[in-house]
Amino acid sequence: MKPGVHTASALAGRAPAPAAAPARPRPSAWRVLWATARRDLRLELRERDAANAMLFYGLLVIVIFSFAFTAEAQLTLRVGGGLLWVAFLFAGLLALDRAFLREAANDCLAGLIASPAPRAALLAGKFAATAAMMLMVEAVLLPLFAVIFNAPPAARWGGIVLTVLLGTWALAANGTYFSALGTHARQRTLLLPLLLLPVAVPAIIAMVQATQVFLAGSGGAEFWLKLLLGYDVIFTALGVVLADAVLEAE
Amino acid sequence: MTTPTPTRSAPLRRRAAAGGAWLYWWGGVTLALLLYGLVQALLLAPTEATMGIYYRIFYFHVPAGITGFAAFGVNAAASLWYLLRPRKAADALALAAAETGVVFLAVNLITGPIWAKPIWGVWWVWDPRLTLTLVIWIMYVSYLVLRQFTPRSELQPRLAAAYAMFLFIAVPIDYMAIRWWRTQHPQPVIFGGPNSGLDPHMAYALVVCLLAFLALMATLMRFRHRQEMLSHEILRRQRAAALKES
Amino acid sequence: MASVVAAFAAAWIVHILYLFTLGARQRRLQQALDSLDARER
Repeated sequence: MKPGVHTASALAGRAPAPAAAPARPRPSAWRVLWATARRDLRLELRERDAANAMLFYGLLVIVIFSFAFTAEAQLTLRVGGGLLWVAFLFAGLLALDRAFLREAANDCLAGLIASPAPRAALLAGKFAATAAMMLMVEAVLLPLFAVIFNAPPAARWGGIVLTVLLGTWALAANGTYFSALGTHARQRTLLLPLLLLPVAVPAIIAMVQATQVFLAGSGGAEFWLKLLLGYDVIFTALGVVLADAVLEAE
Repeated sequence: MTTPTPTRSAPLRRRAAAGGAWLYWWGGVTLALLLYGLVQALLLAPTEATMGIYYRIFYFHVPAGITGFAAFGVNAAASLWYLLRPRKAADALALAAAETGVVFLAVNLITGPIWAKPIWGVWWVWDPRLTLTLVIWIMYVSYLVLRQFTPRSELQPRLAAAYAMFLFIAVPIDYMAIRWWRTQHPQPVIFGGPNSGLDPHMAYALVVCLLAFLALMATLMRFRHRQEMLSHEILRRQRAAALKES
Repeated sequence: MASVVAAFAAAWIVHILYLFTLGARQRRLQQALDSLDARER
């Protein structure tokens, strides 16, 4: 492990090679992205608090659903997609909330913003780390869901995995941006779902419907996957374009 | 300072703060239009053949919806203006537009079910248009919550403007998703819509009501905009006064 | 008839409630202005 790779100064590309600092005042966007994502993931995996909480929370949601609606295969055929995504959404909100919470301590965010790193790359790095966290948790929750809710034999798991990838991208892209947007607010933990959920409505409809189609083994998922992909591309681009608006010193 | 000046200038200042002559003129025109529209809608326009008297709710319901969406359009334009050129006036306009839009769309959403109950037999159906309206209303309530939760600073207008861009971009995607989602399911009771073969007198009454609502929107928006600018001015003067005293 | 009246009443009530919030804010601003005037004098 390189020394100081998880400190804010590493993001500016200065710490690993101090001699090169004057020659490269503005580090490349990809390097910043990679450094931010790696640092965040390393911190998360070292503590493992958030991952454990997300897993347990998602599991609880799934179990409580199975009490609320008797978990028969017939039910999974009709509403399984919705149940799965509510569990993923609740678990994901825990990770999204943390994306910028860590930087609030010791004015770390101000340090990041003051560094010459491109803001869009910082945001993209946070997005990559959060999306990776969510996908890891979802990789454990999905088989549990399949067992507890007696997934239908006709279910096409390749399609469901694709939907999970695209849906997590949608939630993580907007969620990371809104997490940055909420850092200055009072009650920021309350604010994030209020900001994310209304904007995520079309993505939620698309991911639930696509999952439902793949669970039931029926046709018609192409439209939803295309819509989800379009949503991902449009909102990721919007987040990159508007990155300076949320990550700027007062 | 002489003693008579403050007592004489106080009412003048009060009027200037509230909007001055503009408010009285526009408020008067708006009120007249609203009353004329009310008479047209409730008394003069002919009763519709199939829905009977209930159709008269449309004279409030439809203009309120159109006006609400127009206000959200103003919000998007003002937010974009702020992102390109950060001016307090642009931010105040965005806030005023979002607030009036939420009010008008709330009227639209409340009068809708009151009409639907006797005609469709249910308060609410998840028809594409209803769903979209509800989702958009919720989005702009979120926008107002964001503004409420963010402390007043140089940063707040920029955060709000960025969020407004996300909302505006989400609207067409919402439209596609919701329409596709609903058309896959059995449709609820379908009615011809008010535009199919509209009686000329009905159309006239509807246009009058729409103009009245748009005028009301302009009045409310302008008033709210002035309040916001005034509060900026008060903040500036309070800071200056505090600086002078210290 | 009742539902027509209810709809019109509801529309007006929403607007009047909003006007009340505007009026309350205007009063607050006016008080702030007055106190500023008093302070500057």
